[in-house]
Amino acid sequence: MPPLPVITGLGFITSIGNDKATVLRSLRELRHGFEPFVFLDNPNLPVKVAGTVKDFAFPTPNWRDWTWPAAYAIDRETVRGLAPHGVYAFCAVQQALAEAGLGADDLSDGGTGLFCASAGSPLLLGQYLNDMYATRGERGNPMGIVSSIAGTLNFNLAAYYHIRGAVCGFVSACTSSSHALGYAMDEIRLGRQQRMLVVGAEDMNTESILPFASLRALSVNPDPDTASRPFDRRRDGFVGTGGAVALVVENATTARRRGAPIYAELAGWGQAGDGYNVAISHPEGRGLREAMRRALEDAQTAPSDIDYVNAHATSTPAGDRSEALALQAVFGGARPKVSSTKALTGHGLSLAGAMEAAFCALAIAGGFIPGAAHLEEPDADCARLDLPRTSLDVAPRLVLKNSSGFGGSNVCLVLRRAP
Amino acid sequence: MPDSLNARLKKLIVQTLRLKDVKPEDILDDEPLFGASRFDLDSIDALELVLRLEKEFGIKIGSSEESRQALATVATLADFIRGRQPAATPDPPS
Repeated sequence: MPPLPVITGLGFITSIGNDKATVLRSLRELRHGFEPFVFLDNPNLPVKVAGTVKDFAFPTPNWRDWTWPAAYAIDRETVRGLAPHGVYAFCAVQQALAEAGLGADDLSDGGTGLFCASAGSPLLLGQYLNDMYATRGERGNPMGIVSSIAGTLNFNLAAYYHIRGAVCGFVSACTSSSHALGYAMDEIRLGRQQRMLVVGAEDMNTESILPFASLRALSVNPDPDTASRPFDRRRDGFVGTGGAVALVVENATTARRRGAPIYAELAGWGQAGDGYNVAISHPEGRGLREAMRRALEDAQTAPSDIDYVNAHATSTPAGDRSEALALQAVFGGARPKVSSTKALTGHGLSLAGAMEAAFCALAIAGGFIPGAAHLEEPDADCARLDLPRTSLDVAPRLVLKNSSGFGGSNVCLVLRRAP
Repeated sequence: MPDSLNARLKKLIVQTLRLKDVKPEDILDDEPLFGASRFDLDSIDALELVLRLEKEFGIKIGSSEESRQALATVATLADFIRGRQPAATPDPPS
């Protein structure tokens, strides 16, 4: 039997809470993290809500103006190489390591790897390029590149924690951190690493979110209480968010040997492309359907064994419909509970998969199923899904986590309750 | 009477590098700014300061050696700027 990967540590900086207890309460009580948000100080813009991250402030691109909760130590030599989402990530990692009972020194043994996912920081990259134009290339911030481009998370975390195992970043838009988690599972299963730190993060600002308005992907509903409503007939787009989530994934044998808490087992994963369009999901969810089947096969489980599906559903009309059809095709008569926690958090883009897989781990460990918040009237195409309106005190044993991204990239993860 | 350029530079240093618990008037004209100084500043801070000085005074600080010598103290920095800007340096509008 190949080594079994298990989740032993979680860290959260999200719109619905900056620690495990708050996130857990938000999921159980369906408390959302949305606030009115004026992009570019322009009240004429129709997009008016965001999943804000509280207790952090990044008022300018200059790290000297940034603030974060005092509980987290980030020295100046480190922070000036970070993007805002790197600050979130350092805080989330500190939480996850504490949860897992690990010290920073435990990560530098060569048996630990690091897989990350973010789209980089459009805010800092824009600033860096503007400085370059202004000085006609004669001056530049030496930390400009490492703080801004995709990869900034793994550059910084690997250096800070002296990671000597596998280090990589994943870029597949909204499937990125699910890819990171899937490939981290493989590193454990192949025996290449004993432990993987997996981190997904995104900036929470205009520069990272508003460009999606050009695709008409963002909700223009100004009401924070209803703007994100996956599978609802009146859904009109997603609400953007950022933050960071960190997961510690370990070989079950070594985790048990050191008495680490085990939130869930990572039973399998699968991926498949739509082969269809750069920005739009296949209308019948062709790639996601195949990704789910491959994940179930990898986990050696049947659709009827799945208790809960944490859907990718972002609250866009086309995307949710596509996923609903894929779910119906895979599950047939079996009807697992389905919800999208993006109804509470918003869509975290590269962060989404890791964040929602971590929610699934909390649900498994906490013995509950998060409800489908803000759902009033399911779309006819989604009506065959079992969408609980409230969180249920039902302990799921097998959970499936879907992610879909640009280019028709699809990833499905299977999590299982530890015996 | 304090040198107005020195005072302006001290204010600019504190503002640019967001020095905490340091008032501009607390910086001595001839105390080291970088390296073995009480401000705990390094070459990346120096580069940020150079960018700001070049923009503020319309000067060029060329090589890293020139930059190191110019930024040694407030006094050396003021001398450097005067040398590059023989005309009186106007105070910024208040």
